[in-house]
Amino acid sequence: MIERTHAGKPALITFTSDFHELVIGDLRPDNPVTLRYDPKRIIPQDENYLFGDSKRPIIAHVQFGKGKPESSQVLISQIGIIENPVNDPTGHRSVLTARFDIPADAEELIVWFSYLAQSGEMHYDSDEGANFRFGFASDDITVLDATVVSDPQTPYSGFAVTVAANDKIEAISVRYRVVGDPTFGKNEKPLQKTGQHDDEGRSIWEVAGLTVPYRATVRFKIYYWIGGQRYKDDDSGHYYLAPQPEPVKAPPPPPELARAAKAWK
Amino acid sequence: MSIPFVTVRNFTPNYGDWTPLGAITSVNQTGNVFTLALAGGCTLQISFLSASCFRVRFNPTSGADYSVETSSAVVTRALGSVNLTIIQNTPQALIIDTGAMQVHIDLQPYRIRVFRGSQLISADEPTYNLVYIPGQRVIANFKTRPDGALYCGFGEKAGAQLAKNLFTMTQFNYDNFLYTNAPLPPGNQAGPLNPSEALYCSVPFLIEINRSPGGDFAGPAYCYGLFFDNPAQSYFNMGSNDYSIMDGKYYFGALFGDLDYYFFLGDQVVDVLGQYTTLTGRGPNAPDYSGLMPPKYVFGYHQGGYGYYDRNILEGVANAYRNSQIPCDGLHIDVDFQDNYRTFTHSEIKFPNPKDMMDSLHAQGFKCSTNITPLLTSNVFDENGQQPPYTQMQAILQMGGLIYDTRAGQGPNPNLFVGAVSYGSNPGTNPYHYPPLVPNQYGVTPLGASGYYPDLGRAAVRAVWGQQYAHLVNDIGMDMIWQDMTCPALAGPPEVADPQWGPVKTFPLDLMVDNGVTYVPDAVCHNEYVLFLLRGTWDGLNTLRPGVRNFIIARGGYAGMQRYAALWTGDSGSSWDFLSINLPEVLNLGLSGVPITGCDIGGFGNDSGCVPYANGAPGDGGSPPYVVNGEIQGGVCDYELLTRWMQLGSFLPWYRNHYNGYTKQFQEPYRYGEPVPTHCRKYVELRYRMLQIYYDAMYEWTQTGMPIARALFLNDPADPQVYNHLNDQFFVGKDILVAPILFQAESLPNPIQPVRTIYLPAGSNWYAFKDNQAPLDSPITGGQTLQGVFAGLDEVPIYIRAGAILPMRSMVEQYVGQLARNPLDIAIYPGPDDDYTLYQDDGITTQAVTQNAYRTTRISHRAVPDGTSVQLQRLHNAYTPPEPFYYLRLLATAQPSTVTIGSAPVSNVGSAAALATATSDAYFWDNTLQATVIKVFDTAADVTITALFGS
Repeated sequence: MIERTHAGKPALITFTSDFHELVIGDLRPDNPVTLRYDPKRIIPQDENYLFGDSKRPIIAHVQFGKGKPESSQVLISQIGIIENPVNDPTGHRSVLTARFDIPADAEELIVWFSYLAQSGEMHYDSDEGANFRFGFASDDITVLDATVVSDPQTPYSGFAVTVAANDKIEAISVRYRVVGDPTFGKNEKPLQKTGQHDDEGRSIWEVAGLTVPYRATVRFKIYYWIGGQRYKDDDSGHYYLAPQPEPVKAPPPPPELARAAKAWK
Repeated sequence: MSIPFVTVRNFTPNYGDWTPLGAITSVNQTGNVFTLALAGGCTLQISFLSASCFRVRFNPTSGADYSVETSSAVVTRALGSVNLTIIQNTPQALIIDTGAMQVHIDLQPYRIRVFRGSQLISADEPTYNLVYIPGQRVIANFKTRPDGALYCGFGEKAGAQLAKNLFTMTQFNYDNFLYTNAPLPPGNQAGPLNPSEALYCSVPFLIEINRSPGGDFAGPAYCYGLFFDNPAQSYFNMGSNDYSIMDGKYYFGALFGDLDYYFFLGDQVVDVLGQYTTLTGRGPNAPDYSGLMPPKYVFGYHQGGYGYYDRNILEGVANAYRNSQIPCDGLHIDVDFQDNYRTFTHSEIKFPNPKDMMDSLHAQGFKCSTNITPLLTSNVFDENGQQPPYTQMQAILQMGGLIYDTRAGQGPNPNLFVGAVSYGSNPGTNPYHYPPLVPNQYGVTPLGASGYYPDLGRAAVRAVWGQQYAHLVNDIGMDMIWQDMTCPALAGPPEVADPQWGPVKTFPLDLMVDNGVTYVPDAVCHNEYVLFLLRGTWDGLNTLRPGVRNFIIARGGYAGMQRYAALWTGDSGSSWDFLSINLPEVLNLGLSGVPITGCDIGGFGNDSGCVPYANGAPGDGGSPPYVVNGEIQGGVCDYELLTRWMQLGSFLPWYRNHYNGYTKQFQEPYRYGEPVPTHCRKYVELRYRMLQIYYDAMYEWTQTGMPIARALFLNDPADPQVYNHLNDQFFVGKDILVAPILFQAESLPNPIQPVRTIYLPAGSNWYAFKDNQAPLDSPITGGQTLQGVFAGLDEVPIYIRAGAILPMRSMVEQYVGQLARNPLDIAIYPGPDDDYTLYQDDGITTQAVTQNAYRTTRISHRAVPDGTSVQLQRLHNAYTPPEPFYYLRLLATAQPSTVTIGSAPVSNVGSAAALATATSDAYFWDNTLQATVIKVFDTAADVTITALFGS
């Protein structure tokens, strides 16, 4: 099993000014999620908007499944009112935030945003009306293995991925690139059910023999479908790698560290 | 256990469940230490470090052990002799006389007051003073804020005012890009004008100055310093009624740790600074070379750029500086230098054969730094997409020196803590690869890395950390280290430190780290991580390269950082607001014990003072950069702002232009059209000719703690008017008053005249600085405000105190040491007798400390009948400068009748040209400048030059 980069960390979704939606941490039911939102996505370009001004609220709307009740919150500035917010397409700088608790029975996270412009027109940021839909990849998908098999007799290697997935998942594909070789471009291939199951009873899916350069390192992410809806698992933006790098082997932590941590009340 | 960041409005010792200490049940004295017992089992300790310094320490847990010292800021507590006289020791009060002050400790209930003679100097609030919440760790102390008292210091703080009266501030090291990225109370205006912003460097030290005390404090002027030695998030509310009534009082406090503060009494501010910097480290007697004079080139001009991403660009900048004849000493190369963000490495693709490159730059007179962050990347790929070992990370990993993901209140975790750092994004200007990162569909690549952090509170980890500089220092010849992301700055993973405020961009505050004594949550020692980092770097550099003065320029610090590093004030933006805070920020850092500081000239990031991109989009950072053929088009700092900033920076200790080349087209002054290069060159050249003055002022700091750049009251404390002119004029050293233009004028849509008022302190006469281009005007009597002083874009108003002695260099150098000989030209301004200490050494080796190889010379001038006499007396004489002679320039004189050196008459050679070629002592009278210029061969340890002007 390939452990997720930020396993166990709280979920955070950043909506960047260049219209990416970046999920990091464990997005799953019965946990909180913080939405980070760049207002440039929704404020009309000709409007003189003051970042963080509570009199001009941007509303985050969420649903936890199609047809389920909607809840909403005003996005707030944790960093005060800013006259000249920084443009940062990575979403690390000036963003508004809101925090929601995902209920235990949530099926997915559906998000959209609204803003009443000074002109009186209501603006939406809703993925062209489809709304932004996030699956709970931490629960839905586990990448069990990813390999690049090389045969010295051939100039190519074979890339393979094996995944365990909830039974509600209808289809899975892998999108991959070769690290350090921009000429390879990106490719996407479907995985197939093997008919086998893991210890938790989840179906095993796999794809193998995908041709890549000899002894290449492959970077990939997983797409999967539930109810016809596509969701993404890109390991919190880190992407998965094949073959897996050697894990970092740290010496065990000193006993006094554990004692001090436990003693802290 | 989640531990939150707490904004200034949510730290509320003036409200809620806080309780004062109350009655003291007993007092126990051991030597100079008094232990006061409280009814609940807690104790408080008061100890005396000198006749003018005492320390108060309180931990709100029963049975606290005060024998354990955890401070990383303090280097010595032996500040002077202590001879205490107990005036009273009763159940009601303990009164202790130190000889310099009386400390009254009321016991029923507890309260401390300090008297100088019969004059009250400092007082706790009567009953509600030292407060805490039983069962918690929070502590605070309320003191009376007398009318008329000014408060300054506080380390690195935003705001356009030097005095921070009525503001509330927090000390919490934070990566606060453009000063708009740290949590603030709702409704607060973010940005450089708000002192409540958490910034990169925390020095919880204040100075109270009371020039005309009244009421209970009536008496002569006084000042005192208060150092709250607590590296947790701490607070100073200097009278802000933000959540409660704070009229007539102030408080300081913290979320964790001891209420541990030092009180320094002084008649003058420099008395306080001397004590504080002795406590936290200053001068060649400080341990491990800390406090050593920096390399002389540090006081030259520097240029940095995020986006100097390959050798061609860097060498192009170097060549352009030399071709443009704008002097420059330092080039600062960002993380672009590294092999795919592997700290301590270089990129062989981008900077091939770096030793050869560095040798070439050295031959041109440049010294270089590169960026070293505490993050050790976990990215297995190098820049080629291969996976070679990352030896520097492995060295620290294998000795168990990386921080584990162990959290307060939880069990052990064998996993390492993984954080991330953001380096912004590459809009398509940088063609190199950073595997596995790839551009998005718009051609933009987010830049950054994830990785591990060294646990630098452990001495053994610091030692291994320091060894990792070997490649940069010994193999490549890197001169300086640029220590960045020191808070440390994190971009992820998402640590929801506070349900209300969300992620805080540094270590999770419950992450267990070593504080030098034991493991504690980061929240307890957050602000001193940078101090451990700087110490590890400093010790490493000195081990790897002994014999040479090393230098660190850091973005962040804690009290005591001056032992290891200089500071730049973080990621400023190109705006007039940032220019307006540059001066008070640097002055306050000087008043916090940090002598070498400065702002990124022109602003690092894009802000309101940037011109639009070439496609018409605003260039202020609110729009993506406009890129054509791999180059940003526009978004540069406005020409007037850049020029005024280059002028101000010329007079501040750290003089570096630095910018983000991924969002701005350029910021080097030579890239602008005329007259910008000419105007900037003028003040860079002046900086180089004044370099000896900065060097001497630095030496003075090592002896006294007196800053290089000084608020007016440091030199003229007796003049009550100077306290009204603290924000936009200042001194370099003792006698050079600088009044820069810090506001927009000619580039406004409706231009205004660049005119300002200037206050000239009372008690001295003043001369407008003419830089030997014209004879002096008549002196101006001090104690008056000049109205409507015009300063065109090529001018900075400068005034020189009558009687001043200014050792300038005769010639402009393109870098320090370009000329084998550059004689001093020592200007003597007419006026009262005065003296000056000149410090000379080789400027680069450690011999000044290890072999005492330096020279100090006292230059003094005094009036004699019909003339002036100048004495140069070597006080310490173990270094010989390369120049065989120097010039004395007596300004505003008639033609002398005689000039003698000792008793020997000196001949008048009649012209500057003849004087230049004279091979023995000589002089001439410059009729145009009305100055007597004397060439003195530097052969005598004690020489007196006399010029008489009688008929």
